[in-house]
Amino acid sequence: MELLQWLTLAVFAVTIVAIVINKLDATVAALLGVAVMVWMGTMTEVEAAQLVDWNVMAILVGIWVIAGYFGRTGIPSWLSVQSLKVSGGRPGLLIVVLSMLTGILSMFIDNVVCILMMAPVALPLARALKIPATPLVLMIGFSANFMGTALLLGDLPPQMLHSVAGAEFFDFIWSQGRPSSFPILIVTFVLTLAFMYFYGFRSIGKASAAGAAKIKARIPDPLFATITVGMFLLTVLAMAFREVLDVKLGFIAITGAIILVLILELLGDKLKAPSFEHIVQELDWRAVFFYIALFALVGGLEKTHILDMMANAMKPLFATNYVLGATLLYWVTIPIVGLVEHDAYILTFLYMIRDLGTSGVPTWPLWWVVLWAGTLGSNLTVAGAPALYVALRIAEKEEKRKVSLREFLSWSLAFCLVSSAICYVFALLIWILPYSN
Amino acid sequence: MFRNILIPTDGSPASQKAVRRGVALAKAMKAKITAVIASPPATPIIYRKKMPVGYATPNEHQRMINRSSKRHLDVIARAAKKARLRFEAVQIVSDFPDETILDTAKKKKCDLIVMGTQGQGGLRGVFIGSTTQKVLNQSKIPVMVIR
Repeated sequence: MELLQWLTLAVFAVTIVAIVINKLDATVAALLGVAVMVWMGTMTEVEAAQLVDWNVMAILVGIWVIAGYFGRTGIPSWLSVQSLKVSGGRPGLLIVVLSMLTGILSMFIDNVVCILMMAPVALPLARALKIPATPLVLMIGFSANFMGTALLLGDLPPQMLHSVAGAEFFDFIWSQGRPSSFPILIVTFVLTLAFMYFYGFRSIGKASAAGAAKIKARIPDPLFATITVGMFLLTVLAMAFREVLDVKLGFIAITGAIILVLILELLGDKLKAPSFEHIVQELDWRAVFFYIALFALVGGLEKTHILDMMANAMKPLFATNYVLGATLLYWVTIPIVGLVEHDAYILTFLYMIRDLGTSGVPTWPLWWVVLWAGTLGSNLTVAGAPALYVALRIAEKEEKRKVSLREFLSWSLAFCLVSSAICYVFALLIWILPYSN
Repeated sequence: MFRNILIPTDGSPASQKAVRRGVALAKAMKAKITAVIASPPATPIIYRKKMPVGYATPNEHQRMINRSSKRHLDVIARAAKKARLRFEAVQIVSDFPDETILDTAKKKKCDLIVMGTQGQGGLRGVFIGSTTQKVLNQSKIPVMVIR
């Protein structure tokens, strides 16, 4: 390895450590890492900008704008009250139904946004049925994190796969002649929820049909809700048929967002809609800049051929025993992403697997393995996923007490291990074994 | 001199020793006794000495915690009754006994904390040395440590 490669690797490692120990703001640390790489000559400032996948950034911002309006339509509250009716006021069932609802929403909406939408409407239901807030909000957090990877829109990792491997919307449903992310994760999700019901929720709280009947929710402005949901669905539909339209996904997302903003602004005071300015202020710009820096950082490793070298070092493992290699990759990923921010890890491995592919190692099973393990493992602790940190804070605020690590692990370890084990069986049978020869 | 003495308990021998001394002191001062216990949250996993040792549904676990907490608080209640002292019991759900003790002292306007050292783990371990140390470090009212 040359000196520049060592230096680049060192800057990358120091940046990741800075992000993990959380002494410095993660976004600032990542941007600093990129700046140091530019000053060192790993890449020029123009190359750093070119290494960022702006298409993915456009998807994120576009969908976040639409989701921002969606959160204000009152539909999440209305859906939560419908969940209460479906559960018949049975607390354990309500938790499962709310988790399922969160999972479905998070396939289209960012995880943190999804939790911020669902937790405030779930908590009054929890109070009515005397459900402890902590397990309920944590289940909402786990579910949002879990199902974000099922489709292309819900989280950054699937969008990274779109960027690195060219996975399209339908590839997340059916890819290479076999079921992929959506069917595998939805079945895993349902089985995990069933397990969690028997594990901790079958006798929680107090069933109260009368208490449930008292809670009502209505959509404040049906026209605003209809326009927002309509545009959301149209945007998702257009993204699903991106190849026919022959434009980038980010362009579709931004177009959908702009059209929605335009319609709402033109209708002005006739709707009870938040202003565009308000929605823009609510966007998590810190996360946007973190993701921008992440692409540049990992791009620095790619440009200096460090990922190439790492892929070469890993190649014998996959070439001699593909099943063992993929299995190790899956189960090593789980605890790592449980303890460190998972996006950087996933992006690095997606690039590395692409480089592995040039030497004849089948890439698709490994890409899915990293994506699924990277997402499911991140449910282990709050360090793995920002969404869980948000959920934990909401639970602590509601219960007016601190939640200890052992209390958190009592729920997260069960969810994480069971979901990971179920998903591994599907990954092995559907993806790894068929490619092992 | 002291009007409201806080006696934390976890049922350990060390905390019971503190109960005896605390009640005797309260009797001498004609003070009120406030007893507090930090109960762990009811999760499906049962911990003992900070190690997972079993499984119970949260409802079953809650009943176990309540029974155990009541038993430990009742020890102080009986001692206070025997000494003809005013008494109040507080049960707080928390995995952080030091914070529970300090918060209760503040909320109940206690002017002295009497607590033991060298406790055990799990529910009985809310009085491990570090808890006493944290209370000693952060308390704004006098703390009497019984060895």
